[in-house]
Amino acid sequence: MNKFFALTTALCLALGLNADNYMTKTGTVKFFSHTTLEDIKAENRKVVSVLNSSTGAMEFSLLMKGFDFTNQLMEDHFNESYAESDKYPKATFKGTVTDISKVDFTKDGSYTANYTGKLTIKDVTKDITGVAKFVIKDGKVTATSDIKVKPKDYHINIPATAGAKIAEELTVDMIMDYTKK
Amino acid sequence: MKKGILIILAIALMGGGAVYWYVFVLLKVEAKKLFNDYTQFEDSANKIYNGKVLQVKGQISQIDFQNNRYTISLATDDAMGVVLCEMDTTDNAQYAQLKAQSMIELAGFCNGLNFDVYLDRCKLVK
Repeated sequence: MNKFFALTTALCLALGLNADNYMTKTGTVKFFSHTTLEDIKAENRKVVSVLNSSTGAMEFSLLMKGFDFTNQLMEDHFNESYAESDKYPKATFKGTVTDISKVDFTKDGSYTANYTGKLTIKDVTKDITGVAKFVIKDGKVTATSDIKVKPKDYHINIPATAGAKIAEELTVDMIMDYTKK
Repeated sequence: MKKGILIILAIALMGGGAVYWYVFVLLKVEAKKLFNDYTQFEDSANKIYNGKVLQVKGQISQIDFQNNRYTISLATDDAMGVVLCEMDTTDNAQYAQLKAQSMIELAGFCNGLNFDVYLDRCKLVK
């Protein structure tokens, strides 16, 4: 079963069998690299994600070419040389909000909960854990979290000539603007 | 080799940005077929379409305008999925004339499937 069907199956199950599911096609993932030589940031605002408010199951996927950089040349290098976006077009996360019961989806407010799951970039899948903040307002759910990612852990090899300008560890921010389905 | 020479000659003779889109169009495909190819065999479709300039024909299901950029959705056989085309911003006045339900052809770079099929840097062909 390919990733698309995995996601759509999850969504269909959500839509057809479970009233506790939330979805977005306009989630945001952005990353930031800071070195003394240069700051680099990129943002992808077309992230697809599904969250089950009962089980805590959560998935998201994004196209690597959906990252917008402030510098077009940098974007081209990222896609062609580092992320190899034609060969590995998508990054995915599949996991669970382990204490989803802390979040009251029926009541406006701000909640925090832990999550764990598997992040896949290029041909590498790694376990990650983190804390997410959930803001419930007027039936909409905004989930935010940030993690640290080392490019080399995901076979993103940066040549020595560019290495001084790119941090060994990137800050990745995730913002999912869910609506109930 | 001959193809490469022809491309270089075409650019040299005609020049200009508009030529770029036609010289580098590698595949013509209907929006419905493109979407079906991706949803049925994503890995194969990635190899065929990703990173290529596609000339896509389809019926406009939705037109969005945000941050000075038009995004045109082309209908597929799937009730939820579309071919989502982010337009180049240089011809916004032209895109403002487009109407939902009409048939169009556009060319753009294919980025792959993520629920919808995404094309960016698109230009209207007709």
